[in-house]
Amino acid sequence: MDARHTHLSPEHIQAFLEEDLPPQEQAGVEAHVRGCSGCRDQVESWREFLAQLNGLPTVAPSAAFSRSVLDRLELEPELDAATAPSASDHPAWEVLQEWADGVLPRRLRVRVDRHVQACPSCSRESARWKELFAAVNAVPVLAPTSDFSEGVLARVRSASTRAQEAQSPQDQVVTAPAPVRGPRVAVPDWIRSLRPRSRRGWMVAGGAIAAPGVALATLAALVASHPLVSMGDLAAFLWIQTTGAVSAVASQMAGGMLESMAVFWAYTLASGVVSAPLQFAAIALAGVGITGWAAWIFHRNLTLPSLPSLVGSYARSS
Amino acid sequence: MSPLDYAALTDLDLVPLAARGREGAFREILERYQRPVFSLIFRMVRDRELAEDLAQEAFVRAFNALEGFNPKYKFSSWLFKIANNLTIDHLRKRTLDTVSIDGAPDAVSADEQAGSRIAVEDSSERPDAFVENRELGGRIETAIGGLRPEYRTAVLLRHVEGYSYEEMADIMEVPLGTVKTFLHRARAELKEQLAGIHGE
Repeated sequence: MDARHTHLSPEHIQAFLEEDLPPQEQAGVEAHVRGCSGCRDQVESWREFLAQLNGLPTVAPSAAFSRSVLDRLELEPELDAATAPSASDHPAWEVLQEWADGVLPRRLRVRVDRHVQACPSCSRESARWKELFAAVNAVPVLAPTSDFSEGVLARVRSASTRAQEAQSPQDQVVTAPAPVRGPRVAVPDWIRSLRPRSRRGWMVAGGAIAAPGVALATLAALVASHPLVSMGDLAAFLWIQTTGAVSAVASQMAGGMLESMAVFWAYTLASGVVSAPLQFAAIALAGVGITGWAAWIFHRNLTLPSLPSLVGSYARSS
Repeated sequence: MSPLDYAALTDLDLVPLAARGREGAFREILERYQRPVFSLIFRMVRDRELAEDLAQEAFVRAFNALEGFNPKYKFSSWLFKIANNLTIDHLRKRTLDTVSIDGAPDAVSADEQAGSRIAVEDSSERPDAFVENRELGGRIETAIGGLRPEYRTAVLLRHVEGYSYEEMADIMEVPLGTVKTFLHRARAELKEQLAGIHGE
């Protein structure tokens, strides 16, 4: 076995010198040191080094250190007979005002506290300041009238209109005119009350408006794409069904109804469909488009009537 | 009524008075601990002005936390814990700041990294500045300044402030075994450095 492995490690020596080993181990190390000159030298070297470390002095901060710390703290100064304020030592009225408002630094506040307690005139004066502050603090916050916001918005709109109208003639020549969205329709209140209030409501309403057109278009597409069914077959089927139903209803109604213009026009329409199914489908699709466009105009008029750009467009077009 | 003799009171008597804002009580605490606390921080950061700022901050934080002080602990350990945490945080932050300007991290060559490096003069961390510092200019002080912060704290708490291992573990917020490891390694490093200087 290598003799170095039996020597004490630096950790062992440090623990031994600080008496941080269990008693039995401490005694073992002591015995080893007595018999091993190499370890004895090491222990002595460590002992001197630790003594050197233990001799390190503390270092003092600057003389202003404690004053600097105390100045940063909210402390109650120690007042004795020499430093306590006398009753005749009245604070300035600005100081008394700040004291009454509760914004005086703590060190000064304590001194003024004690003076006010001892001085009747300062006590009365501070009470008056406090009353004044309480009265000012009690002044209510005033609310504008209920139509204040509408008034502001109206001024904003009219300012926007004036700005657009004030454009120079040259500008008006070179600037493309804004698209005019048609005259504004006066919508009765009961229709306005039916207007959806949420995005979801608008989606439902849009779906309801578009559903007939979509259904018709889908049906037409299905029929047109089916190999065994033609538009003529469908029209014939619809015609048979419709005329059957009409006949059933008509038989229950007065004979004069058969000569009415409505039935004549319905018959004419059905005949037209049977004779020209593709043209009829095209007309139906156009109807869907027109329905959607009408719904969009309706939506714009009801939901965005106050946008400045629209207002400006209407003003120019009128 | 005769004024209180704060110097005659124990730390645990002073703490509640200071917590109530009594200047005399806190002044006495300052009188007792400003020197050791400053001393620890000064040896940690090796910059007198910075050490004064950090020590001030440590006392202010301690004062503001006095109401939460648990009297079952030793007041001085609690105060040193605040001072040590503050100092270690500062040193770590300074290390991060140094790393962040030590050349672009995505530089692919040494020249590229050198080109993107910002020259910084931080006298408190240069080895030659340790020697220039008259107060901490001794060989052993210089060697302590070269230790990593945790080792520095361990050596200073043990040999300058005379804390036990248990108190050191409390202050440094590490297990007892870690304290011993820090201390053994720190002293071994110091001894080796001093032997090297001595041998030159």
